[in-house]
Amino acid sequence: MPVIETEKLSKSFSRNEVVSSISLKVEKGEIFGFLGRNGAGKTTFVNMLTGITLPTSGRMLLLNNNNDIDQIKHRVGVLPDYSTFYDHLSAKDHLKYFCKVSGKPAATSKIEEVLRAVGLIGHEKKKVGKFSFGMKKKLGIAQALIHDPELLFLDEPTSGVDAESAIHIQRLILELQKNGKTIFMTSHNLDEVERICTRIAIMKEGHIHSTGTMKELKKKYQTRSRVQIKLSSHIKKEQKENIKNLLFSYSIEWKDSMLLVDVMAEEEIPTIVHALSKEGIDIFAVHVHEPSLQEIFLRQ
Amino acid sequence: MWAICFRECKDLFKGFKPVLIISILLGMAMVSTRLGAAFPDEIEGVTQKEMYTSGLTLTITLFGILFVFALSHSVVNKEIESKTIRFLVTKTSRNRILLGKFMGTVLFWLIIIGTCFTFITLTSRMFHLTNYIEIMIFLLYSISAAFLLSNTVPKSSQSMFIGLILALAIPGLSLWAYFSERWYIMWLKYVTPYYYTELAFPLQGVPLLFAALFIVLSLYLFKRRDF
Repeated sequence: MPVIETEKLSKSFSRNEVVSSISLKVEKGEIFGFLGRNGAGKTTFVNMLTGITLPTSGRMLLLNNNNDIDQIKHRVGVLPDYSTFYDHLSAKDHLKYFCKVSGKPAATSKIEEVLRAVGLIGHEKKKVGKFSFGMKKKLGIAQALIHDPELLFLDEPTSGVDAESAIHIQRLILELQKNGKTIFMTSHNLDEVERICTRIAIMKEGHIHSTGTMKELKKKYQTRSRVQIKLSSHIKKEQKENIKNLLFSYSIEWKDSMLLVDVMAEEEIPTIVHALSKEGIDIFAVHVHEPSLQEIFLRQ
Repeated sequence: MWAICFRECKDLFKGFKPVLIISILLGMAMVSTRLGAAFPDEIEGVTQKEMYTSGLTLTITLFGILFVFALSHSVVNKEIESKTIRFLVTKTSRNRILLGKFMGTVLFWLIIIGTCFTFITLTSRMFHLTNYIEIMIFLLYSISAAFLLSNTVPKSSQSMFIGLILALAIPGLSLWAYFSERWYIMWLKYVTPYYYTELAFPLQGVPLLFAALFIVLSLYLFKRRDF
């Protein structure tokens, strides 16, 4: 049963439709990546799912609870896109307060556990007004986790943080998934989405343009993969000519003794390797360079 | 809801404004208790019992709305401006947020007025329950009006400006409405709390109906809002 299910969910501001009739399903235990250019409507969509913004029309079902988000807020953790805190409170005070607001007891051990998980241990008593942007982002993640939710919405969890912290956050997200949590995240970092998300949706001008796993998206857009075949360094000119004739239906390129072939599907690789072997050409290594999410994204 | 209530109440005690207001109210309570002690007999219709609380009642009547608006004009819109509301709205229901804040503000005033009345009680050796209830009815009206203002006006700087004008205008206009026979002003006395303080129970409680109406309107606006 899906953890998130929307049906024709839309949002308009005045006459401007920012999110148009989005129907989407996210299963339990997924890390669902939500991509799109600035202004595509990602944040508005997340805000509708989390109760920050009210939908203009459509239906949504979170954790099998029909439309009444209030009933399941204690089971959902949210990192909003723009996080500001109460400057006069410390990180610990924030977590204590938010835990109580969620209706859960604010145990010191839990607060410390969450602060440690996000890498803020040692800063728990510092006033948030003195925090850097990255530290505030970490606190934002901590407050989303403090009540031990089943479903997490993370809007740009690594934007504005240093590379080391970003890796730390990505590991944390994977850890949360291992513990059975479902994560719905938006990101501008395509490498990150490609690396950690189990499924991806690409949003364009208020619509979902495509959804699927990386493999499905590559197949859908028939993106070519580049196969790098390492041949003997003593390969002769005539042999190169033979190979060119043999693989006449492919686009090929030479880089010294490295043969570069563009293929549409992985299934074509054994055929190429077999054809080369049949000609008596020694193959030392085969490496497949798959197109990145960035390449797919840029083609949208 | 209680977490928001206690946070709101605690935050109201911070800063210069509450210190000033508490000092004025306690100062007036002290002055009036001295008056009560100095004039043991009734003076021009004011009983000795009333004299003990007269200073506090007069201060609240004249400046109560101003005090409440000064502290609570931004109770909602400031959180929306700073976007901290997003953390609350993703954790609990909108009704609980608003009611928590309302109860926190009421609790603050219950403590302040309660402290003043404790002081008066200790001095006069009488507990002035009726006066305490009257003042709290007046303040409940003012608090709910401040909530409605903070929900209607999006920016805290604007709500402060409008709040100040209203807080200064309402007592004066109500007084004019109270004594006037002119149709365009006399209706005002029925929608502000001053007129009802002169009436007997249960009409004295009419401002509570207005307070309930303001809160229901605030809840309605708050629930329909995008943050």
